[in-house]
Amino acid sequence: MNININHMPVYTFGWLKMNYAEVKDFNTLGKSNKKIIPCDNLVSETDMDLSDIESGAGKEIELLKKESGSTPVSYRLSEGCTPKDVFKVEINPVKEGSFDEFDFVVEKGACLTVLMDIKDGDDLGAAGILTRINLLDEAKVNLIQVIRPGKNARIINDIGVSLGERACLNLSQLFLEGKESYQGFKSKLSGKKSEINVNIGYRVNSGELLDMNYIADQYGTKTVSEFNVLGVLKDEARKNFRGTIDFKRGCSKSEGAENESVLLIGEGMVNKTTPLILCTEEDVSGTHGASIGCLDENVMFYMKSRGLSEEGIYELLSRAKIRAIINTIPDEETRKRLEEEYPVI
Amino acid sequence: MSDNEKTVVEDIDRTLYDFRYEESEEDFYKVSEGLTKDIVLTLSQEKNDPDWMREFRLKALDIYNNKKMTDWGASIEGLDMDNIVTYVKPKTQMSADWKDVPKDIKDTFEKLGIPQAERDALAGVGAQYDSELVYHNVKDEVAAQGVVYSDIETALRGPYADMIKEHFMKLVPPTDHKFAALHGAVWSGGSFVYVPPGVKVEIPLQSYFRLNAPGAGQFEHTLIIVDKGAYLHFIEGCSAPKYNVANLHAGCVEIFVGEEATVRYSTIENWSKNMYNLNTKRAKVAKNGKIEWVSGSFGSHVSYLYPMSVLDGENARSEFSSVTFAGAGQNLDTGCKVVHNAPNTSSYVNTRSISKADGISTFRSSVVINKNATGSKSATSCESLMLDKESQSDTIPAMDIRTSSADVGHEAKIGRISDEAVFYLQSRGISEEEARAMIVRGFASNVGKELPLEYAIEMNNLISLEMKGSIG
Repeated sequence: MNININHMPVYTFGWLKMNYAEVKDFNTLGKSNKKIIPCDNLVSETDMDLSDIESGAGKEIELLKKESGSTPVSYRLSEGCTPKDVFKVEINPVKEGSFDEFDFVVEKGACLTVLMDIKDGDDLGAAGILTRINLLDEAKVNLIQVIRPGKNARIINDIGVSLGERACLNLSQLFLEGKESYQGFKSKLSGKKSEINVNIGYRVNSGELLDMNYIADQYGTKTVSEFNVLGVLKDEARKNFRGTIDFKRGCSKSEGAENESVLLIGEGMVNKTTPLILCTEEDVSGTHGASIGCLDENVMFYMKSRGLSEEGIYELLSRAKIRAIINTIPDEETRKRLEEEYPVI
Repeated sequence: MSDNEKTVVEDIDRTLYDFRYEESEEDFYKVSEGLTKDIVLTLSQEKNDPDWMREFRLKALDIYNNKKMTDWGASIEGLDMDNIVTYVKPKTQMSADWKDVPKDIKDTFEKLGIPQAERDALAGVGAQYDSELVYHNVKDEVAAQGVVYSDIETALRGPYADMIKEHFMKLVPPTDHKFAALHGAVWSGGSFVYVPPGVKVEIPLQSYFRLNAPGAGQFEHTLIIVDKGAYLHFIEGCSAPKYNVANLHAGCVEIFVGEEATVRYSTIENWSKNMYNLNTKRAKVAKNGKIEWVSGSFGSHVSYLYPMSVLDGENARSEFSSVTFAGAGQNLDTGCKVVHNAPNTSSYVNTRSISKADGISTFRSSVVINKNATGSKSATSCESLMLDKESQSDTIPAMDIRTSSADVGHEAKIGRISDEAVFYLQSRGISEEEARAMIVRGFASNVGKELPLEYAIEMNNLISLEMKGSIG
């Protein structure tokens, strides 16, 4: 199936080929290979409908869902509950392609941590994943995703979030490997003082593609969105980062910030970055910044003088960027586990 | 002081530009409304085009008819080409003496201050009225240096004909976009400038474009070739009175900057608010050359304006400074494009956008650093200021980097006038309204400081910074 996803909320010059991603021959005809480790207090439901929550990939993600015939796995966390454990999902992309949908309603004052590990896929495996979360007032969700489906695997990982008053989403994502990874994220900050903190670390190796589309629609007053993106591209890696902060009329005293720092190693890469700010509200503060390039000569010289090889220096810095994102993960157990998997040295 | 004065930032005072003298149909020759092959052929015949240009126009028309509109940018639904007159010629010949220009046309340019500016501070002036130049002159001492500054049609049949054929719409081909194709089909008027090697044109040349006819289009072509080691400052001004029907401006500027040459291209654009300003500007810069764009966008109903720098030679540089002010009923989509296409090239972009009273201001840019542009650097800074709750401001920057040895920085800020800054200035004895006016003036100073004094003053007048009251 061919689909167009990850559309920017407003398009720009067509010749740049940044407005959306064209995904070719992506099928979801196979049976999902996943493992779910539930946590206490989280109740499975069958009649939950979160279809009105928009996701970052866009409407065509529904075509994959239809093709797979899958039904969502839905959970509700009751008011005020904070499970002791982390809700864990492991997905292994299969050769025929699979589609999984996870819906969560987190009620008032509840706090949920979800760890999704997409790993060890079949050679040429593919997986579509859609996660939708409805955070009611004062709810909090820590969503951690580790994307490493295998060298020749492809994934479309899509997220849609709705936030009530004072609700908070902390999203930490690590993209470590995968032939083609498409990442969508869209959040609707309707509630007053709702907040999203998005921390992304990526390492795109030669021949791999990472395509991202992150959108924060800020409707409520005093809402906050923050995107912190750290990445490394090596040799013939391709990456497209679209980040949008959209201050809607009425979201007075809201703030938004996005920042991307990209380290480029070798030659032949394609690095595309489009950080958008859309604004129909005067009383807001929005910033974005991007820093793209190679390592400063002086830093390189210093590190070499301490006995590190050029390859070693880049490996070190690459790991440091990943580690910086791991450090932002609020759940201690998950953080420690990933720290062990990705030591700096 | 009235309450209204205390709570509103005044719109740009357009009375200087909105005047028009009564004109009758006998004063002009014009083609029918719309765009057909017959109209293009009539226009070509009227202009006595060489054969290649006539063929070029027809090919461009074909491209226009087959090309889709872009799927981005401000809406241009109010523009109907069937209602646009593409060629309006005043019944006068171009002159090098203001005395020979018909009185009403001369009075128009007098009121805009063009002859005075020529006497005081310019090396040459071209004045276009609707589709044709009515005045063109260059100072003797500048001409003596070998500088050519003429209308493009004359140059097309003179000793520089081959040079024009070699460069005309090569930087902006008709295939570039729909309105570049339209321009290729119906272009008329504009200037040709050639600066020989090593010649520094110390004082600026200026072209002023006045579109006076209602429902008309203006499609002037400006071709500038600055040879090795030369320098030129070219100023472009434009205005029109306001009508209730849509007018269209789809001009094209092509600049070839030679090795070690520098061109500064300054624009104060002040079209009326019924104007669709779909203009294309592009510069190609050779080794060690430099292009400097200074741009103030204040007028028009809808603008699409993104001057592009193609840095084609090693160490080529570009600087882009702009301010955009979008008031009531305006949707100004402006910015720039830079392509780094050689090693060690550099670009610097510094823009300010102001929007008020339901005006929409969009900063749109692209920075492309190709694989061969090793060691290149680019820095972009864009800031937006919203003066009230009805306005809209968007920033849409794009970066495409294809070499690891590039160094690219980008930063943007959007917000309102800082209450703390106003409070501080008030604590120093400055009134609130003056404090706010000072902050807005300072905000736009990135462009003001780059303009010659007379134009900086004009720009300040345009922004109407003499705010009579504090901001809402």
